[in-house]
Amino acid sequence: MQHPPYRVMSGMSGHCDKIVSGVDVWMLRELGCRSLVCCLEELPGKKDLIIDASLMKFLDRLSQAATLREHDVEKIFRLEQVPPSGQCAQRMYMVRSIPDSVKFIAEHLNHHQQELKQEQLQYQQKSQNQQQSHRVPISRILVVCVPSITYSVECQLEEEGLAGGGLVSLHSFCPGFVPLDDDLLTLEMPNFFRDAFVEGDFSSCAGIGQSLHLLCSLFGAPQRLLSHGRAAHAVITSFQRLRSDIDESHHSTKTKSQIGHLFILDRDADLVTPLLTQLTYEGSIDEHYGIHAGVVELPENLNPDANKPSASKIMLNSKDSIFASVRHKHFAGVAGVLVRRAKEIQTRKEESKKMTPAQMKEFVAFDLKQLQAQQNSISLHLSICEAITKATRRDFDVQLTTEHGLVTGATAASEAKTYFEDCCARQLPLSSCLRLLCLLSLTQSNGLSLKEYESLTSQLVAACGHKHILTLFDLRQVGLLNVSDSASMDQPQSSAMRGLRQAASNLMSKGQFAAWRSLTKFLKLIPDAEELIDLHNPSHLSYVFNGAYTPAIVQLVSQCLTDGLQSISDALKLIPGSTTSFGWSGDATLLPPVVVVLVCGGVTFAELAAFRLLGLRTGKRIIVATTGTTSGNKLMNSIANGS
Amino acid sequence: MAQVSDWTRVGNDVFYRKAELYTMEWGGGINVEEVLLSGAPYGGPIALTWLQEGRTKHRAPQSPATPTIVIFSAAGVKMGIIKWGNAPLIAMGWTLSEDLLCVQQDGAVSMYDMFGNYKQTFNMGPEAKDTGILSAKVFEGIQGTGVAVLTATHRLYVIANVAEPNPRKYADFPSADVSCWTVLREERALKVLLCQHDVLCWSSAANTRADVVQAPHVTEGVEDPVVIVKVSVSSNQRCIALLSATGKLWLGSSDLLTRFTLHDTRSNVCPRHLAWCGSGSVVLVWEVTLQLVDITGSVATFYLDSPVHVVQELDCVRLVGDTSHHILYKVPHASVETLGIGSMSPGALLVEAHLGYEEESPRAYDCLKLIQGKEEEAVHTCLEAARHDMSVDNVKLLLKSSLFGLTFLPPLEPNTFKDTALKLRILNDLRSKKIGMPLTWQQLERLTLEVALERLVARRFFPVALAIARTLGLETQLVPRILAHWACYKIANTSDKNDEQLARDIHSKLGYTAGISYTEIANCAHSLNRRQLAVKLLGYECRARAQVTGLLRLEERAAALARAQATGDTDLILTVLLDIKRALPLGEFLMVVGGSPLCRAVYARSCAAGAQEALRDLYVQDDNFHEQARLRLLEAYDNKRTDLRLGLLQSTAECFRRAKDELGVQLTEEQMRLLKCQVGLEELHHKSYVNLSLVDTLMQLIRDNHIKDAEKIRADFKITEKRYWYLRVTAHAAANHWQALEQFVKSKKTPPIGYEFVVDACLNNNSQSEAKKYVDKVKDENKAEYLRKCGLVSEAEKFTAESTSSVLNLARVTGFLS
Repeated sequence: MQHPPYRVMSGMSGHCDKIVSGVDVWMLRELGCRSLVCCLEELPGKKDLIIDASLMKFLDRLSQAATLREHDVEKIFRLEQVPPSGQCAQRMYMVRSIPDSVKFIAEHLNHHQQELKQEQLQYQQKSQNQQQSHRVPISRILVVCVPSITYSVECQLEEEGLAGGGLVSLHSFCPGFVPLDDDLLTLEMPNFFRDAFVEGDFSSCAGIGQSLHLLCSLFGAPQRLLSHGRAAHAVITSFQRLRSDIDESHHSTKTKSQIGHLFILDRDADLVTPLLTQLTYEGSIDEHYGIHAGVVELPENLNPDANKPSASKIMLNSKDSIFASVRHKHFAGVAGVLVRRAKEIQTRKEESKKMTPAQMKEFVAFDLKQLQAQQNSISLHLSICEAITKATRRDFDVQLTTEHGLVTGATAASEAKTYFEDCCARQLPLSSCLRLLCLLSLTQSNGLSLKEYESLTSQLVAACGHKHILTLFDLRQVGLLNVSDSASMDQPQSSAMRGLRQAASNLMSKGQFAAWRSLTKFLKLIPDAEELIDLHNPSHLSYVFNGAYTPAIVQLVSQCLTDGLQSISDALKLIPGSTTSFGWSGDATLLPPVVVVLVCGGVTFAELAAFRLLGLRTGKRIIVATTGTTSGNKLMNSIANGS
Repeated sequence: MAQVSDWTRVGNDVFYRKAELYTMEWGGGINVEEVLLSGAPYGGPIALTWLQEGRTKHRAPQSPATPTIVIFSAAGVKMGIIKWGNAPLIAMGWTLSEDLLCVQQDGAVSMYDMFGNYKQTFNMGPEAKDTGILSAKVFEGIQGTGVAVLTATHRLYVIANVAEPNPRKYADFPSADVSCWTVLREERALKVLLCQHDVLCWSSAANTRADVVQAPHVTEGVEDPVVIVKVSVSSNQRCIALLSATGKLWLGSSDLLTRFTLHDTRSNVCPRHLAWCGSGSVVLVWEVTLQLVDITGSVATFYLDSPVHVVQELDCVRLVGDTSHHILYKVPHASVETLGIGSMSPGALLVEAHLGYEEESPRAYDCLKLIQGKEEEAVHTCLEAARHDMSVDNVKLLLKSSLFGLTFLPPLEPNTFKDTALKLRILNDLRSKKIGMPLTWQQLERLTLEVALERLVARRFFPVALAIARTLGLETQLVPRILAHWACYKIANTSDKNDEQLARDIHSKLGYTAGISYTEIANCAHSLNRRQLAVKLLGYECRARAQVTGLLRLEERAAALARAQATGDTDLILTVLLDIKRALPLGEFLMVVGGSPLCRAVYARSCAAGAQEALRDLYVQDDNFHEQARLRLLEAYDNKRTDLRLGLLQSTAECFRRAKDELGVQLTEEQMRLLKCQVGLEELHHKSYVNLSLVDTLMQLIRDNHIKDAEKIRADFKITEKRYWYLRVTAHAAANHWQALEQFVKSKKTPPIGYEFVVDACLNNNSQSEAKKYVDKVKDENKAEYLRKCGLVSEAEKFTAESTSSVLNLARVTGFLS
């Protein structure tokens, strides 16, 4: 793992970690970093570190490479089938608690021992003046399971013959939430959506519960809670179990609660939002380049540092004041704002020419650097804007019209189908085609008819390969793709036999096909056509989708905060999973003004923007915690590549 | 002073005190001379058995008809009886956990708890069994209690720790009579010292032959060969005492290199006992005479009421007699300082001051004046003396004095006094007749309070133990353990109550005390063959994992599964499922898994990692053809060989058919057709086509200029015209076949896909010049944009169109692109 130093973006003048309402989310990073150090110290002495790929970004956010080096980490490798080439006698594996990780480790170990044997043979054959064997036998392996040691891992270890014997030992590490921003916490579990909603495996929810518990041990338990959904249920169960266990044994003096509301919701409460193209600035960056754990990797031609023509990683967060001012803006307005800011800076600079020497001194000492940094940032973001606009397809407006038309009902299904066929024919990326297909199926009141499904699928499969039949299965599994399959699948045996994965996720009985449509009505997700939505000085949450649609999760929270739990109870019935709630009686005004929203399965930047607006509107601080930021493309790819 | 009247001076300023601990009733009285007796160290229980005929001249009158071992507490309260029906007993001894070890003549060693309940038997190896044992020793080894035996064939076998009873043979020694022997522990090893006439042998596990050394001279300057008849090692293993047949005593270090002193007992009669009292002196006991020899050579003689058995302790000896139990210990320096006659030390003056104060005498002031500036020292000395004193009156006096002294001091270390007082109280309780654990302060320190409490629990004094634990604030660590012990005792000793009732009783007592583990209690019930009770008890367990694994251990799998599912902890569910899988035949197991969606999901997920076949079993059992098809399909795409893949696809199609999924069948068959077609193409063009999608195959063909093949596939797979157009244009442009592109575009009057796409295709492949060929035919509303794209800016300006409401146009208008 190379650590190119992240470019310090403009406006990042020292520590501007805002501490609003007492909840300092950056403490979580401190905490996580410390427990990481504890882990490293479990294995004293020089060691190689091998990390699961999905944890790398996470560790990046948690600590610096220097921290690792300080604790005797020699080299860092990605966990792959190919054994690492490290030369330390000690190895530390940091892996997800799944049996596959252990398999890799066992393979690595075998490979290493064979190599060692071969080398010894060679060494014996050659005369003694040859160089010493450069491989050393491995003396100790510490397997750090994130977030906890599971039975299946222990079993696998036993199966591989590595249990006992002192060579391999297990250790658990629960890093908890890592702050990406003042109002965004992540667990970076890219596989969570697939595991939970496709495979019906909610086991990683225990880890989320653990992280939530850690959060509450810092900031106090929430006074009001609403959780809804299958993953949310698993999370809250694990969370409450931990609380009762620990409180029982410690009689801990309860931390004064700083969290007023806690919402735990599943991604599948609103699957339409990720299907729609994100239109905020940050969302657009995500759609085009992909933001992973708060970092975007820009292509070569966008590298702001002209001297080093290579892909550059840039951290996107509110520490960059320029970015902070435009991130949640509608894309169409971003360039304008940037230009205006640029002009302001220009004026400031020009003013400086008329300054007295004393003023000048002050200016150079305090403002100049900051202005310079801001200017750099503006030019970077302008060039990103430009690149995105360039890369946008010609028929982008058609795409938007279709998407929004499908949601509001203005576009007929037949039109959308034609457009979809067109997309397939033009060899657009698989994820785009799938998004459109899913959106089409979700917005129709009965889903796709079998006939439509057949014709559309064959188009898609012809373009992308037949193995994506499996992807289509999975999409139906999640409920992203609704097909009213009276003929083939709803045989009497259906729901029980249709697949245990289906049964496990206890999804979508027939009546629920219409669920989304009803949900839009209950929650008023679709603004009236007459209502004028200001995109640039937004006051309505739906601005993130051009006023066509309000992200359901945000609307749920919004309604719940303003009108109470009762107002959304009808809506919740339409969303899969069960509800848990407490603390809703009593006066809301006395609660701390901090709201934590945990979205299991990922949250989009469009939703983040809407939450931000909601926070401004209600005067509350909304902190979004999630298993990772996501987008339609990421969801689709996780489903398409998994099978 | 009255308190010191029972001190006996031994040498200069050294006093020993012999005090009565208990009057012994022995539940009917015994004659110590007639019994074999073994007392456990640290004030532990006493086991005794009557010597059998052959070893004494006449049968003892009290001895019962059948050989019996009786166990008493140190205070002489009967605790248990063992009916001895085995081979003759050679020796008895106590382990550190207060279990009784009985070494038999045939080398078998039986272990009993202090209530005479049988625990286990192990043996000292075949040789010991065959030849018999002459003598045996139970000793405190390095990690636990050990047993050493001397066989009739003069071989030594040693078990270093009875927890792992593996007898080891020790080095052989010159075969001759062994007059006495003992076991010594050094840093990390055990050694046996054997006395044979005038030589001593060191035998250990490491050597093959014992080291033979000359016995040290017991008489000053005279090199007379002597026979050592008794040997004793001090509790700290540093000092050794050797007694010759002529009554000469040699005291020295245990390596025999340093001699402390020589002493002539002037008696040719061999004493009954030779033992160390602490590490500073040795006691020799004949009938009723006790001689105490200090290592400096000072001697004192005590006369006893009756013959006694000596129990050697860490810092004292206990003398167990017919009617009384005495302790003999060295009066510690602090006591001598404070209570000694004529002592003028600060401690003594503080005591004096305190007494004066009580009597309201001016003496108090005088004494205090004398220790001005040394109050702290005085207080500490008094406390120290109080700790070690065994007489309650003295302890009271000393504690009061030190408390009196504390009032003159700033409040420093207030806890020292409190701790001392508390511990002394506990010691006093332990020493009471009822409990009968005569521990000294030093022994308690060594044993630690926790262990002492555990011993209390083992003696079934639950309420006292609980009270002590609560007073000490050790609730979280000790209280649950004490309660658990109580529960286990209750289970073991109430067989009449029904399980339901008993479980309820236990729960009502224990409740949900923090840290209580019902699992442990259930294990205990299970080991006592009360399975139902164990299940009931597990019902009270709060920790889900412990409960579930406990239920599994009891083979209550259904209950375990139900409980695991209720917690929703998938890892736990998997634990149960895998256990069931091991226990039940596959069919039944699959029925269980099939019974609940959650179990299915968890199991399927665990199978997905590499155990496809196990997963298939599950689907086959369910007649779930759809999932079977899925698995087959996955397998097909994992397979690199096309013939195998075709076969797998065939069976996939079959599965789809049985699942009545027409679309699945259709698509799979289409895939097979495509695959065959691709294989054909590969043979024809020697290029890789397999793994490409239908469209990609076509693209590749067009780019390679195999238009005919492409046309054929287009027909075979019924590709729409529009789609084909997109394909052709994109592929030609990508391959820079400009001529072919032009030809193709011109083949129709207006391309069904519009000229915009053609222009874009050219531009995407960096050919503005080609793009310009088609740009004129672009629809009017898009012309301006396309002209600009092709670099024809001036032409574009003519066409400046109204911007639409599109978002992007908004962005464009803002002007930052220019």
